[in-house]
Amino acid sequence: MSDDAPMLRMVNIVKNFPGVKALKGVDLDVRAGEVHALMGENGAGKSTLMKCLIGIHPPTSGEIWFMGKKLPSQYNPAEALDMGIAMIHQELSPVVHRPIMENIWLGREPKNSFGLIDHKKMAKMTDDVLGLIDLKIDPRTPMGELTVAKMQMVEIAKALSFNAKLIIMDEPTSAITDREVTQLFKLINRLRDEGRGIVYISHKMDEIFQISDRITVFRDGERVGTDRSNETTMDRMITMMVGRPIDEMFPKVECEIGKTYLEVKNLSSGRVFKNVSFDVRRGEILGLAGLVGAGRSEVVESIFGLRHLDSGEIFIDGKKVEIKNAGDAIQNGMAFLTEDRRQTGIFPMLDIQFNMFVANMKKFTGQSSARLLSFKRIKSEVSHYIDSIRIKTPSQYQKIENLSGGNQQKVLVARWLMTEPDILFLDEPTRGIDVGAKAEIHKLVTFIAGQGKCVVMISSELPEVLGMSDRVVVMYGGKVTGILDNTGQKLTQEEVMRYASGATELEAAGKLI
Amino acid sequence: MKRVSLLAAFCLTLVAFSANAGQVRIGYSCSNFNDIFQIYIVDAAREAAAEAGNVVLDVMDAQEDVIRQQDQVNTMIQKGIDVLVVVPVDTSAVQGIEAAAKAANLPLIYVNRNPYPAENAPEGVYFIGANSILEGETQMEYAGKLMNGEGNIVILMGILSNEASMNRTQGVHNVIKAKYPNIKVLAEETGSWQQDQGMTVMENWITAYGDQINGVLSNNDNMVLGAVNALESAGMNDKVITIGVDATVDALQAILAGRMTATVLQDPVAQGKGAVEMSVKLMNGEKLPAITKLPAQLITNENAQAQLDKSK
Amino acid sequence: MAENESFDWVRFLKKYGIIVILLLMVIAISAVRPNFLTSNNIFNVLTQSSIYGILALGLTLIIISKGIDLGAGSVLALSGVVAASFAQTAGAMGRYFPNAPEFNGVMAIIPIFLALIVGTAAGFINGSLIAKTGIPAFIATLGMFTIARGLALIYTGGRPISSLTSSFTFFGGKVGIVPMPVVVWAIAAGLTQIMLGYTSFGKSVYAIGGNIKAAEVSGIPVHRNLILVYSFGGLMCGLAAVVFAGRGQSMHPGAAVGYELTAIAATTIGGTSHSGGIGTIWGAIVGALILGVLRNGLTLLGVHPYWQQVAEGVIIIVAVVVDMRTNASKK
Repeated sequence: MSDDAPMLRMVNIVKNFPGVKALKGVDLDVRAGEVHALMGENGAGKSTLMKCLIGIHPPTSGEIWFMGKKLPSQYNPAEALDMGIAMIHQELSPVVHRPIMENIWLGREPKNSFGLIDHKKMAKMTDDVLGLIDLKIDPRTPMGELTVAKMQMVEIAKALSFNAKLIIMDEPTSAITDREVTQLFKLINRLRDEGRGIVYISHKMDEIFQISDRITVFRDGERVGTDRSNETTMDRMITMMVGRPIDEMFPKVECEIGKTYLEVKNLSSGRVFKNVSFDVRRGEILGLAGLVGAGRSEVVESIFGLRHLDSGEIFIDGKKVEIKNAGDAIQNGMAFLTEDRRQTGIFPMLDIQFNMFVANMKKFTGQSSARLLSFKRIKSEVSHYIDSIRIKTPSQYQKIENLSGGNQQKVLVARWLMTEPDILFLDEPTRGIDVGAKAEIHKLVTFIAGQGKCVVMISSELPEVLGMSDRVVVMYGGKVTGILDNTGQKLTQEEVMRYASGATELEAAGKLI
Repeated sequence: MKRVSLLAAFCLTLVAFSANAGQVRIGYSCSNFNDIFQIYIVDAAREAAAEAGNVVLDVMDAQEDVIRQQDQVNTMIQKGIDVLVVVPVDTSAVQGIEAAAKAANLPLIYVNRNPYPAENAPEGVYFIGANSILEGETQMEYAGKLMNGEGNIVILMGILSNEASMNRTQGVHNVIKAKYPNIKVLAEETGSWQQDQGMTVMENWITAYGDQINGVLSNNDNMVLGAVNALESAGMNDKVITIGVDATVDALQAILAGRMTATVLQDPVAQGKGAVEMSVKLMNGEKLPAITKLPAQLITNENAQAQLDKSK
Repeated sequence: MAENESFDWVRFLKKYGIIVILLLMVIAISAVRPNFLTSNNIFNVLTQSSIYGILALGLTLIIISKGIDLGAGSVLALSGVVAASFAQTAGAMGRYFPNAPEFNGVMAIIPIFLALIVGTAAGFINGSLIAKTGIPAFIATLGMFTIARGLALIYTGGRPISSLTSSFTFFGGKVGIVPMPVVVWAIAAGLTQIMLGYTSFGKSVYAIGGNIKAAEVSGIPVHRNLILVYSFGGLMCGLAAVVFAGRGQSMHPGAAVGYELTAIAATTIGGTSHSGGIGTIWGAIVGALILGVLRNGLTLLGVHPYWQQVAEGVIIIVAVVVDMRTNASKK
């Protein structure tokens, strides 16, 4: 194999599922010693292509060449691993109760002369493999005790134990901290230097520019193009992904801010948060910034009646309200788009129609004594929302789990808009959805505020917070550390970080100068 | 402290036991309280115990569960009894019970269900009850006579693994083979001793065989009463012979009302009372025969009223 | 794509597969035994399916809410014996309340209401335990399974209650050739369908089973509705008890053992998912009919009773596997 010949060449790959053309003839090549990033909206075909490569789905047609050899038309993941192709999945599925070493050598444990598993040897081998990536953990530690980042490292070590030449990583940073990301990138660089090929799938633009050598963009089952990372721009990437230029990621429109509508005073709940007070005005977008664990989601959950409050008062339009559960909150004109779409948002096996009207059943109940739901009205209102916020689906009777993340999120937004709320709480509204959908959600939020409603938005992405909010409430360790104005002079990320990291608190206490 | 109180408790227990000396303590394991016929036997035993005065009767329900019955027997032996009385859940699985009784040196009396139809019970083991085969034979003798030796019958069976179910059915077949070669068994199926299931099975048979059915012989009264319901809805009841076993109150009333042909009595009072009396005699050192068989008596509308009066 | 093809078989089978199975069974049995399709026998099958069919209505709601009720048969027996003890004729032997008037005619409404009340109360207890203490439905209803049976035995001393008034047993009998159990079942099924499909309570049952946390966020009173779901299950036990007592013209404390399992099987065959959030009333009805046709058909065919049990188990497993495959193939 000559040096410049690619290690992996996928030629004209087509993959058809019943009723769907997932890949329409895609080419991809990956060179030894390169990090090749794959980008694209959800459902663009990048994951499907990788599943074809590692043998989960055999391609309908097309050729795969690896290390100079043409691969058979059908093989399974175990065979792919033997050939040196390994994938680190987004959601790891280790055997959590078993030690690291058993997870790594599962199914190929070293045996002693009696044919029994040689645990001592296995521990030694595990040490060696972990040593390859400078990881020092006792091989006997149960997998379940590791952080997600460590588990990922172990998975990478496992891939190396198969002497993998090509390692595919699917959204590896979606669940790990910034420090761990730095460590992961160090490791990726090292693997690249050793001459391995890395395929890196991510939505996070900044990471991709930081780590990759080349970027291939997918859209609708086709390859749009491949660029060298140091010769392209984010704007160009976004344009390639969505098929049209996005002039503004954060289409914030200044709108008239009315009088104070929602006011919370001295909310406290156990050790989670203390004495939280803030207010929101009509037409205002209030950002709620802070690090993970600062108590932002918990505050909103309490206001919405999902969590017990030890003390504190809530006023709407100057009147004190009692909110004991989410039903009360909805009655009082509140809506809450929760952070974890799968856990607390969607009803995965039910259709779009159900997912939309579920929080609005009172609205569609008839006047007769039987109080039957009017499906005629439900149907027309649901289809109105599908059209107006452009949810991509063949019909409202589609199961919601068959939609992309962005479209699922839009259904949930529609669910809450349908309640005609005055106050809208959004917890990480754009997490895990692709760029196009993100911009649309931002537009929608601005539009809602423009109608004189209050929006409270929690986000861990500072650019989003700064791009969208009129004011920013910053929390640290369960307390509000600052309420910052963002209307005239725009805030900077550094400023907000100072409040979010507790630095301002320490300064005030005179401990940091 | 702890040790002292333990010791005190132990002494108290001894006192409690010795106070019972002179009494006959009977441990009675019933196969299933859901079976009305078993309740009749238990009631008779309770009555006999109360009459005797010096008998303490401890009744437990095995709920048709072999293992549960084993455990109950062991518990009762631990508790301290003089005689063990058992209605075996499964007559083919009594080794554990017998071993436990033998180890504790207790006499064991089986009631109602006989693990030793060949009358070869080991020493210290007794049986009192009816003969299931004979009951089936009594049913068929009478049916054959009414049918003049010609026609078709169906057999409603109890739970398929029960001794009474197998042997009563066997009895019916014995008589057909020996005396009525022209009577044909169209079908046999289980109604699990239950009335509603007897009804369901009968409804299906009516569809399948219709007028061909001349007689229904059921392993118990419950199921035949269900069959009678089905026959009545089909307007066939006056043309079909219906015979059960047990002589329950409901069955006797049905016979008197002309809705049902006959039943076979295995006398629950004689069984329950007999078990208690045998226990007392054994404690008094009397010798008893290993197997006591009570006769199977045919009850028709001629003697049903008398039997009903007795049941009251 | 799919719309252009003449007929989408996959989608059709996915939705109506169990009806096809039922029809195939009917065709196969009637081909061998023509008397299967007589009106009498059809009514037989419907009547025989009605009791666990009624239980299956309650279980459909419970299973959609991601729960289970193992006590349905026992609660049926308990509500049945309580009701029957108030429904004896004046001259009955062993009358429970010798001094009470005979509740015949319109007054039979009293024992019937008693059955419904006892059943609903048992369900209410189940639901409250599950919603308030958070113990698994499996455990709570397993407790009710033995408690209700025990109470029925205590109440009756183990004896059956017979000599019931003709008005009380009306719902087990026939009007002309129409069996009342089938009428009761049909009406109950219709009302349940309306409740499940067209009321906010019904839709909330799907929400609770589909994703209980999301249901809470959506403002659904989760605890209250769970209690209602189990109370409704209990109400169906009471209703089934009225039919049961009427059919047998007596009520036995040991009656209906294992009926909950048949009803669960019917519900499951009908496509209601034990992972919650999925299920239909018509599915439960078809499931009950599949079991009814199977039992009736095998008897007509003269299949040995041992083999009938095996066949029933095979059908249950096959139906569920087919259902899971059709649901899974969508992903």
